[in-house]
Amino acid sequence: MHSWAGPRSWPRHVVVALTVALFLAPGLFVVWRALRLGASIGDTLGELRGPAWRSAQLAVLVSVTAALLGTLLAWLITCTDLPGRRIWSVVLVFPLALPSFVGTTGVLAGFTPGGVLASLWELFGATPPRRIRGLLPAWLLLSAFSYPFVLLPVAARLRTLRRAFDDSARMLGASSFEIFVRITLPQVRSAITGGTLIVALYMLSEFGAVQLLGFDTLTRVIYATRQVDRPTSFMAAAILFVSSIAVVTLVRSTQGQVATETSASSRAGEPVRLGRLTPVALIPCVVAVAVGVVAPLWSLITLAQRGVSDGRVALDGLTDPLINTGSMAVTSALITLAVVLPIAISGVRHRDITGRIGAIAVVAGFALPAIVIALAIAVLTLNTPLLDRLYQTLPLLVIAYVVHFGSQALGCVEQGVRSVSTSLLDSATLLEPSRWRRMLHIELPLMRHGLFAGGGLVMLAVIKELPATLLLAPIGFRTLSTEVWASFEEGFLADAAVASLALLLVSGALTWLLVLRESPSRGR
Amino acid sequence: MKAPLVGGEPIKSASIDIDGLSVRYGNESPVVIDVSLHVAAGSITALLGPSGCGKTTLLRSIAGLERPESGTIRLAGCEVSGPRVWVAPQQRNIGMVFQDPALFPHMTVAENIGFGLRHSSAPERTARVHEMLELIELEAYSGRLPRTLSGGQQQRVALARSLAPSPGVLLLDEPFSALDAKLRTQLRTDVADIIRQIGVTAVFVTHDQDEAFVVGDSVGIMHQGALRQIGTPDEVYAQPCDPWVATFVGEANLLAGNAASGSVTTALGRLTLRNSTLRGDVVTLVRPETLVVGGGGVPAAVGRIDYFGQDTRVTLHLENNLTLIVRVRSADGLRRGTPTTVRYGGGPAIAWATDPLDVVVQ
Repeated sequence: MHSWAGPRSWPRHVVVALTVALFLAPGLFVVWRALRLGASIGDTLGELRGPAWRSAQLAVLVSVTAALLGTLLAWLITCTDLPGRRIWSVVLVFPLALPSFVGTTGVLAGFTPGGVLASLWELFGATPPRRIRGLLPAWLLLSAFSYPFVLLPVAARLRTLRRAFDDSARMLGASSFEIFVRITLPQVRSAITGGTLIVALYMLSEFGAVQLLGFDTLTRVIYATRQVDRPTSFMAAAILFVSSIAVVTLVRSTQGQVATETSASSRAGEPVRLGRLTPVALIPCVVAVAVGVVAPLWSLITLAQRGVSDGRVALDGLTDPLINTGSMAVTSALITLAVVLPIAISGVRHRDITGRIGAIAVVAGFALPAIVIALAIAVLTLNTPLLDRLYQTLPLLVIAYVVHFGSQALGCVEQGVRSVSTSLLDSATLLEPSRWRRMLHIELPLMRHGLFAGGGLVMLAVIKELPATLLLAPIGFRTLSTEVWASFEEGFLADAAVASLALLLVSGALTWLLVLRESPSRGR
Repeated sequence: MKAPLVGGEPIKSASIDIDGLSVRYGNESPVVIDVSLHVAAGSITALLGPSGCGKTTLLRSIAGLERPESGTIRLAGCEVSGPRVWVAPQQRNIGMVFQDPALFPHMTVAENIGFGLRHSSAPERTARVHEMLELIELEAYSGRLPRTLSGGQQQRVALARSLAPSPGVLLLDEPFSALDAKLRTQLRTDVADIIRQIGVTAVFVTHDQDEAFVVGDSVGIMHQGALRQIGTPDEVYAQPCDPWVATFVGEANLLAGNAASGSVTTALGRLTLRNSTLRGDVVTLVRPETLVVGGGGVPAAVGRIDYFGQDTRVTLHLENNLTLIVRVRSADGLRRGTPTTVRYGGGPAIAWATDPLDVVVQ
């Protein structure tokens, strides 16, 4: 194969090496600090047994629930004659735009005295729960917020499965149920495991919701001890780091061993007739939307409405957070693209060891929970001469975002790089000797779809991010997510609700652009 | 060739009777229009037609993968599809091979073949799978995954998979069209042998005239949703029912002429007609191989000469801008641009009364 590593290839290796160092530094620092605890390692581990167990419980329970619910819903909206399935396929994806801490805020606020959910409870003659804390609510709410991570890939795979498989199996005497179990399910299994492991990873790093629900997981320990008890904090971070790396390794190993054939020409087959089971099939859809979408939104909208109408909330207080969130999202997206592009080019065009290490480093950054990255970066800069001046400045926050969300952009950017063929690069080289002009006039325009998609995903992630922003943002720098957080903590429910809705509006619009428009539902 | 099947249940091949069948998708115009067809038990019928003629839809209706709008389908005399009857595809005891082998990618070759044998015990199933592997001569591949097989091997496995449950009818939907030309020729011979050996009633769809004629005991010609003609390959080629079928199943010179009292006057002179009752303006079919060059007759100028090895195709230009295609064993003595003669050397000719809208007549 033609190689693009010419005589000037050394700058590429240097650039990639620097990027790799940037992405690996926080993780390595955390492990190094944890190991330096020396004799107290055993004690610290003992103290953390409870939180580690709770983190594991949450990760397992939520990911299994999300897997079952997400797969069932994906099947219902793609393969059956479920009434209104085009609407369901949009509504059911909505929790993707809802950061879990915002959703939890909505539900908790709704259950406060006078809240809409508490009133609903009373309407049915029940006493509304006074304290919503612990594993059970965390499990239910987080499952309802995270099943779309399974639903989306499974629905996408189901849509591309060839109809010929169904027809063949049917002609061999298989019933609809048998076809689903023996033919369909094995072919979507990798999509299910992939989505499930992503949910598990998010649950390990979940911070906002568990903090609000008072469920003591490792992330909560890090947040509580980060300034008073650094050893505990770093040990908790190290445990999270190791388990997250394990989950991500599992994710990577499930990809690529997929024994499926798909074709773009497959058309949706005759949908499975639900018949008398239709009402039963509607139950999971209704429950998922009720808990994951309606309950938090209804509560937030009511609170915001009340707050605005009685003048307690000044909408212009949102101007700064909106501007801050927007500018951070755009800046981080642009810098992430610039950092990830050389790695994508290395991986796609050169396919050498540099490219592979680069990709692994970027994915490792994603495996690190945001709060672990934030802790590592904060302590690392504070203890390094010269760098300590960066502590609590915006560049540091941007670095944390880039490290954490680089992998969100990598896939799309690689796709963009792939869309420029080698033969096109060859003819461009013959016609335009300047490397930079080629990049500017030929490659970047051709890659723009991939770059926009990658940048958009980073923006979406930055807008929804909470723990790293809490730990690293300069004092007084308010974003939409910290605004939601701070207002709720201080009991200003209406302010929290208004900020939440603003955040949802922005992230909802981005999600629609990036996710729903890309995978249009096929109605018949 | 392998010995006939032993051990497995003998196939009770079923006849197919289709009566007045029409199929329509949604509110569009029908894709199959009033088709009636009888397929004898144990015979092989080819449905031949250009793409979009409705042949695949007809096949899928027999399978039960499409619901006809009207008409009935009977298998071995039992109605499976009709105004008040609907038998699900999985209960029709029909095997089907698709254009795309559609082997289940997560199952081995043996598991694929055994998929339809759900009512058999494990030892029975193993025996039957082995038998089928022998039949397609892929015994060594039983543990392989489909994607490690070549296209031709995949299609043979697909055939074995559909035959394993001993269906009464085997349907094949352009089973060879995804393969390259050489492999296609080989595979179609193999498949035809296997089908005949087993004795299952088979209907297969193709747009390739050679394939239809080589494999089919009878050939049905479909055009625009209608079954235009059905007969043995020889009948369809020599006595096509209309000019469209005549040109679709082979090269044809269509000559304008005037028919009277059992013969027709054309540019080639008077030809005896098969249908002696025909009168007036007609179109006459003259197959290229029925013409004799250089043996007297009408004067002509030699045009293109295309060599095909087994024979040669010569284009002749007659007076009045008339062009004839001729197939000759050898083109010795013919040179482009030189004069020669041509005459009709076949039996009684086929002709049809002219329908000005139907064909372009030379």
